[in-house]
Amino acid sequence: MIKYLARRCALFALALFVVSVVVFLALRVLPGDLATIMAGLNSPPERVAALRAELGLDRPLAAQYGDWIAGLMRGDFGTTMLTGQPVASVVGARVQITFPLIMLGLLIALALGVPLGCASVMARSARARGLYQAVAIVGGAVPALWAGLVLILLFGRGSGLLPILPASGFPQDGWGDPAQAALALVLPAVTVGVIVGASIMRYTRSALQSVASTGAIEMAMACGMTRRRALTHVGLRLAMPQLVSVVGLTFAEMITGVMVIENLFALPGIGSGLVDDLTHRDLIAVQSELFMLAAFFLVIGLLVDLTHRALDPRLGEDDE
Amino acid sequence: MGIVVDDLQVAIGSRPILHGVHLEVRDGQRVGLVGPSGSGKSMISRAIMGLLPPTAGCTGSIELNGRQLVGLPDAEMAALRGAAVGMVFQNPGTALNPLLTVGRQIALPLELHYELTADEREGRVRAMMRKVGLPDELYGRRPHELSGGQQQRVGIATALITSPRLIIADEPTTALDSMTQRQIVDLLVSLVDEAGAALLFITHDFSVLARATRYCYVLDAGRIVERGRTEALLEAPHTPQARTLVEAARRLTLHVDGTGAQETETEEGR
Ligand SMILES: Nc1ncnc2c1ncn2[C@@H]1O[C@H](COP(=O)(O)OP(=O)(O)O)[C@@H](O)[C@H]1O
Ligand SMILES: [Mg+2]
Repeated sequence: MIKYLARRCALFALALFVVSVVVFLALRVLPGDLATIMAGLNSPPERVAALRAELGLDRPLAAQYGDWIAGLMRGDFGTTMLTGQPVASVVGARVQITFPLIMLGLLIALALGVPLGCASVMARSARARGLYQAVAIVGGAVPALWAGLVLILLFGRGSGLLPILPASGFPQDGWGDPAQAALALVLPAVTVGVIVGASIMRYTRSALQSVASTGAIEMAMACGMTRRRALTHVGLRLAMPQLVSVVGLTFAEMITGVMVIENLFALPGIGSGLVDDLTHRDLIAVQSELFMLAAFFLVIGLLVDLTHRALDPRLGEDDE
Repeated sequence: MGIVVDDLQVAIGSRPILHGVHLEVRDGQRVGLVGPSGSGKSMISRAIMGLLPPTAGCTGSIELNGRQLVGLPDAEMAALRGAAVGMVFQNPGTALNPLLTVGRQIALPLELHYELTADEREGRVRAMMRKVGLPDELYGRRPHELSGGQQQRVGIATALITSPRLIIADEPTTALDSMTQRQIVDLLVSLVDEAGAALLFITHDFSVLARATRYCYVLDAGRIVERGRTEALLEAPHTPQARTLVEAARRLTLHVDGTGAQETETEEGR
């Protein structure tokens, strides 16, 4: 296990390095001069030159990369062009919105998807199975935008149950008033939860079915379990590694996937922030943000792999 | 007493799999069910165990010690599974729960059906492990650390731990090499006889069947096409279906004897 851990962490570091190079080069190798793009295509040449010098873009690539990485190591992710704030604090503020949104959405998705997925495998009548199938397909096919709009119309405008309208959005002072902030996340989280829940349902269903086809469920039943108990006690546990992968990937995907929702509900989160920075051509900020996102994906991947390891006794000793 | 299956019809969706099967295993008897792959043998064992897939429809009669099993709700079937009927599966490598230790696996039917203290359970499990020839130190191991033969010994121990009156063994040796096959069949037969239980032994291989049973049914395409004493059937099969199976078994036996020298790699050799 130690050996595996060391190997997996080395792989993580390597991947992080590759990602940093790719992100760094992508912005510089792409057609068009970085300073020109950032300054705006119609800016006077002096302005472009000044910006180039200010950002150090006139120096050799290796030196630029070194500076950037050295900054990252110190926790200095650069400053935004627009407001001059540190990128780290800008991203930090966005994370405070996106992260709770995703966690809440994921919780809702799991609470809906896992039981429904189990139920669809346990269903005995053909009609019930068809119904579950329909739920999964329809739920997954609903576009986020549309689901969000319906929810806004239902709750926001219609009954006024929740004081959330795209116009009001997230409170200006962030989490200054926690209740208000949490309330602003409810509808978006439900929207995300329903859509992601449908795909969790399908994954749960297929993971359970693949476990069932190995014979472990039949064996547990032959020992005296009811079908329901065998599926929920043995099947779910055996499907856990598969589900952890799915949840990990879903979680990572949601960071950018909730962009539409963030825009719709006027939440200044990571996804909509990235789009903002791109539209403002704040490419130095984008560079650091992309790197942080990629690093985050890699961390999730690492956690998923380690969890797999811990959940499945068949992995673990074999490769020592 | 025993199990009497009569006019059993099973269909999956709209596709018929079994067309009115009749077979009986009386108390203490060992009976074979032989047929080519895909003929519906496992479907019969699933119907008896209440393990048919949710998409299956089942009509006819299955009487276990006089009690009708067809149409019984799953909760009542579950009370019989692992207590009144034990089952040995074809592929222990995938049937055994990979997360359970040998001890926990064998103890499962006891846990589900009897109120015992942990010590009592462990005592019984270790005694059963000795009976099926599993070394004591395997108690805490998991299935992936065992050989195929050892895994099937765990399967047999699990099926027998509650002393059920009927054992169904669905191709219990198909996944094993031929030397281990014989050991496992002999073990199963001796334990079943010792317990005085009945055995329904399912296989596609007549040569294994002759070792395990005196009486057998031949299944083909969801129908019993022939029944009789196993030896007599082996010598003079009446139906072409039975003849094909017998000839296949002969070829296999010849082949095995011809290459007997290579047969030294048994589970003990691993
Ligand atoms: N879950 C299932 N769904 C649909 N058809 C099945 C299923 N299981 C088995 N069958 C079909 O039922 C027939 C009998 O299968 P089975 O009882 O497993 O045969 P055997 O055990 O004799 O090899 C085969 O034609 C097989 O394709
Ligand atoms: Mg079979």
